[in-house]
Amino acid sequence: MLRLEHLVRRFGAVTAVGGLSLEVRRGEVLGLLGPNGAGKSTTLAMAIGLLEPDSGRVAYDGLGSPRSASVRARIGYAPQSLALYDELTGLENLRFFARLQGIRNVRDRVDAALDRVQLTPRAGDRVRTYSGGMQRRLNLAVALLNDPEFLLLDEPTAGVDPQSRNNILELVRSLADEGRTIVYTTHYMEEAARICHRIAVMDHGRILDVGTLGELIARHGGATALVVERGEVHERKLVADPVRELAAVLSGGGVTGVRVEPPDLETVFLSLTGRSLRD
Amino acid sequence: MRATLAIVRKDLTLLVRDRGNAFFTFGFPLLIAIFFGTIFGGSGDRAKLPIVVVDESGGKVSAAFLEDLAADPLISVERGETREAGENRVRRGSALACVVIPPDFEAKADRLLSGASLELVAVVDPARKAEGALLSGKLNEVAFRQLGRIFTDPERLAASLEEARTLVRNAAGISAVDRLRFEALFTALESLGRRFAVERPPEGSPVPPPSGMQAWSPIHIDLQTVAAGGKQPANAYSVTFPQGMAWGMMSCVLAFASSLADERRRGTLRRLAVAPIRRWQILLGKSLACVMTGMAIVTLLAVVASVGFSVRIGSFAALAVAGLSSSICFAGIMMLLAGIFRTEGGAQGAGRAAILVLAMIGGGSIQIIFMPRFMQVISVFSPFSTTIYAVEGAIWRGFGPGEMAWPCAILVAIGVACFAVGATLFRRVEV
Repeated sequence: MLRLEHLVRRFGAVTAVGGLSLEVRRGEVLGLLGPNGAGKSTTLAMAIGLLEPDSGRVAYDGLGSPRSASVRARIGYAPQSLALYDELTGLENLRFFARLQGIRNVRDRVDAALDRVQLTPRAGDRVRTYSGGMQRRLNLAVALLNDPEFLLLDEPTAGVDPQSRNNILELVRSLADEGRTIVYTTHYMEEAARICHRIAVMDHGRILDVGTLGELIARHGGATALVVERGEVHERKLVADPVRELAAVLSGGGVTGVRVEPPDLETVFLSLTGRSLRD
Repeated sequence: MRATLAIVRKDLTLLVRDRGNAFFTFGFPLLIAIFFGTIFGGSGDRAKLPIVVVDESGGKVSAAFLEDLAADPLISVERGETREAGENRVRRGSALACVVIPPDFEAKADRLLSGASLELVAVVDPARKAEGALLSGKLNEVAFRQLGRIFTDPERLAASLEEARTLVRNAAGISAVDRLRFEALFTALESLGRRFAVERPPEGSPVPPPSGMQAWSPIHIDLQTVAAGGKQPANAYSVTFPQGMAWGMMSCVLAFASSLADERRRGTLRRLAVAPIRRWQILLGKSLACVMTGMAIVTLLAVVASVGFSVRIGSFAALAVAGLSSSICFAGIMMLLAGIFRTEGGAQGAGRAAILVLAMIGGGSIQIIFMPRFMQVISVFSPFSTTIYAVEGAIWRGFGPGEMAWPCAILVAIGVACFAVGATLFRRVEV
């Protein structure tokens, strides 16, 4: 279990994270969802030990600080940027990071990581020749080298094609099924809805709410929208009981189409964080 | 240690695979050493010092002076009509100096035995003071030769002696005994002049080269180069290859200082920082890679110099010590730059500026002898000049352990101090 307790981190006058508390259970994928500047990456940086919180603490299963080598050896981290060496091959990148992790059976672990992200055929090519999706998968493979109990993934699908995204999402879910504890930050609602057991919505350095998708929708999703089409006219209204309302609409005349729009994560997100632009 | 060695291996691989960095670290210093070695040691004609001479005297003595000056293998003489035109040439940079022979040059030449001095005016390009000093020496040498010409020209000698006799005759405060002594001296000089008299060539015929008394010089300098234990430099490459090594190490500093900033930009530094290793291990890995590259530069250039250009390495052990000390020094400088500057542009720009300053202080641009005294003192601590000094000590200066110890100790001290400051700054960097 990973526990973040009352984390506070300021950069000058700006409070990036202000009193954040969160608990990630074993074998769970916890989605950290928030607009730009919400404090997601800062939270991850404190969780991995890159940043020292001004106050609060990070605890891994009752272990020590994430700054200690023994704790770090149990954490896998995929940063948002493609943290790879372009002029090295995929294989060389993995071997280098494996040695850095102090892994003994480098060859086996590197082969296993390559296999998991399906890059074995291109392992001998330099990274600069990889597509964006391949680079993202390699970026994730580096995080898997030490067979980590905890995985911190910072927007691991940013800028990839649908095939690579699907591959990464399936991989993340399978990693959780193996009992790993995963924190997953993303902008993409459908990703969070698809793979996260629970989702934490954060903004302005605070957790606004945490729960399963269903719980969040129940709490913040609001009513279902019913869209009724009569020729060129589209009428959209929020309804408490969509089934009864639908029956009533259909009993009337002139209806050319009907669409039911149940609340989703995006509705929850906008409800919690507002609709103002974040630049 | 395994993690540190992994960083070393990775950085060396990246350096070799980046063609630009690899060329400027290994190829460029080699080219510099070979190019300048060939220029300074080659068989081609050396460039002469171009001067403009304006003869306002127009007499026999100035003509002879001009003939002697033009015959000098180091000087290229061009006649100028006016002083203003000559100075213009100097201002435009097409001549080193404008030498003016004043109207009273002839008269003063005749009074050399009466205490007069030949006077010349030399207007020199201020940007070429070193060559100006060389020219001054040459002018002195040629002027001195005119003294010999007086003794071989009976008419001029007689006129000079008559001038001197008149001076003694009219001088107050000279005793009768002293007057007699002067007269005896003048008579002896007349006798000497008759003995060394050279037949004057017919009018219009070329002046023969000086011989006998004309060619006499009060001092003859046998210029030899220092030979420590018989190990003086075999050729110019013995001098240029140590310089190439210093330039190579500076390129190495540039490559590695910006690589840390590059890692920060890519995010790989973040990955290194979250690995279960200490921050100092990362810095040690980077520095070791830099040191090993420095040693590779020294080895490469030493092998090429030895095999391809007949440079005799005095002591391989001393060369290894000099190379290691220099590499430690430049690795420290690299760490300092990486600690101060957080971006690739900043590190590259600062690296180039540092190289320029270190090279200038070390005599790479302005010769140390022409620097102010305090700069000369500072130059002792320039890694550039100290590296060259230590490497030369190993190759041909024949330094013993005691003599090698000082420059090597200075280099290591600079390296350790820079590393300590750089590492402290770098540890504060948020990755």
